[in-house]
Amino acid sequence: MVKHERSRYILFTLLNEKDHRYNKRDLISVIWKVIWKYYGLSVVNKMGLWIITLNTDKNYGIIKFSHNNKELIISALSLVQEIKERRVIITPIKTSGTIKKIKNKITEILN
Amino acid sequence: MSLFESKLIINLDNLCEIEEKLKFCEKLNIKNIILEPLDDINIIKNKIKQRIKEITPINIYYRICIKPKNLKDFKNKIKLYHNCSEIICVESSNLDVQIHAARDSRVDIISFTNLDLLKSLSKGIISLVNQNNSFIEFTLAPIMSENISYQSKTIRHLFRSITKVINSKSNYIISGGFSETYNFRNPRALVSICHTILGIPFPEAKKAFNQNVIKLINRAKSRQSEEIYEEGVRIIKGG
Repeated sequence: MVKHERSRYILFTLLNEKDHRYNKRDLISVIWKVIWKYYGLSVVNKMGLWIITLNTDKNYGIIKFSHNNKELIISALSLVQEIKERRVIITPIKTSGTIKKIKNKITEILN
Repeated sequence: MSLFESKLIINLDNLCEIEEKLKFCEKLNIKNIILEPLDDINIIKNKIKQRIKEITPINIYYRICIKPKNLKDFKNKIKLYHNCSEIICVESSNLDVQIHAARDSRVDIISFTNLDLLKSLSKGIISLVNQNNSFIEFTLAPIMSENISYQSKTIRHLFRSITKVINSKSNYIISGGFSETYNFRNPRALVSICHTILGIPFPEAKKAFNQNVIKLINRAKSRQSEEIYEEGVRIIKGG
């Protein structure tokens, strides 16, 4: 029996160099590049990657993906070194199956 | 207890740089760090330790790395660390030094941090480390290298060496060992990298950043205790 594919959400924080601005498209393309470089074609089709939120003012974001690939996404996020040729560190904070819990965590962090 | 970054190289003469690095680690949510002074230092003064403790709420531990060129050099250097409370680490590609270090109970870690050192890891060393209950260390710093050829070779050697060590059931730790601040990563992320890229089973990878590091710290602490004769042998004073 084929199991139903569920979603997972990861809340991550960003550590940028000063005044570094970029959008969701820049970030997702860098993440895809990392996934291609380290894991290749065989895993790309199972990812279901989607950036839900990106806030470069408060330095956090939420990414959605298929539930089977949690460890892979965590390592891919950590392996991102640069966006638009400037240094960045993406640190995963919390993984959850519902967006509600992630949003609660955001308010906890921001407070 | 949370995960450890078991190697952060610092310059003890430059407190501002240390503060900067530790603040960076706080931002990355790192809870436990083992600091390693840059130069050959015999003892880390309590005054400096106290100052560093005041800088940050992170749990800080210390290690001293000896880099002997040959066996004579190793014997001369290790004499100075007879009753040292810090973790003692030996880093050398010389096989004689590695064998002696693996046999020496004063040495806690034999470090294999770069490609040349990884190539020199043999089954004999792993076996001696196992007998002496000391640790083998690997670092993930080469993973962040921009030289793809070097990176690929190192990943291959890391995979082979770690698999050898896991199969022989020896103690090992994995550290970040990054020197540049923007290469630092949270140990939880490093566990995932070990699992997905190096193919280490998840519980094993987690052990290398948590349980094994705690064991290592306890080993260094127990060296100072007069009651503990060797691992598993404690002298009980009867009345």
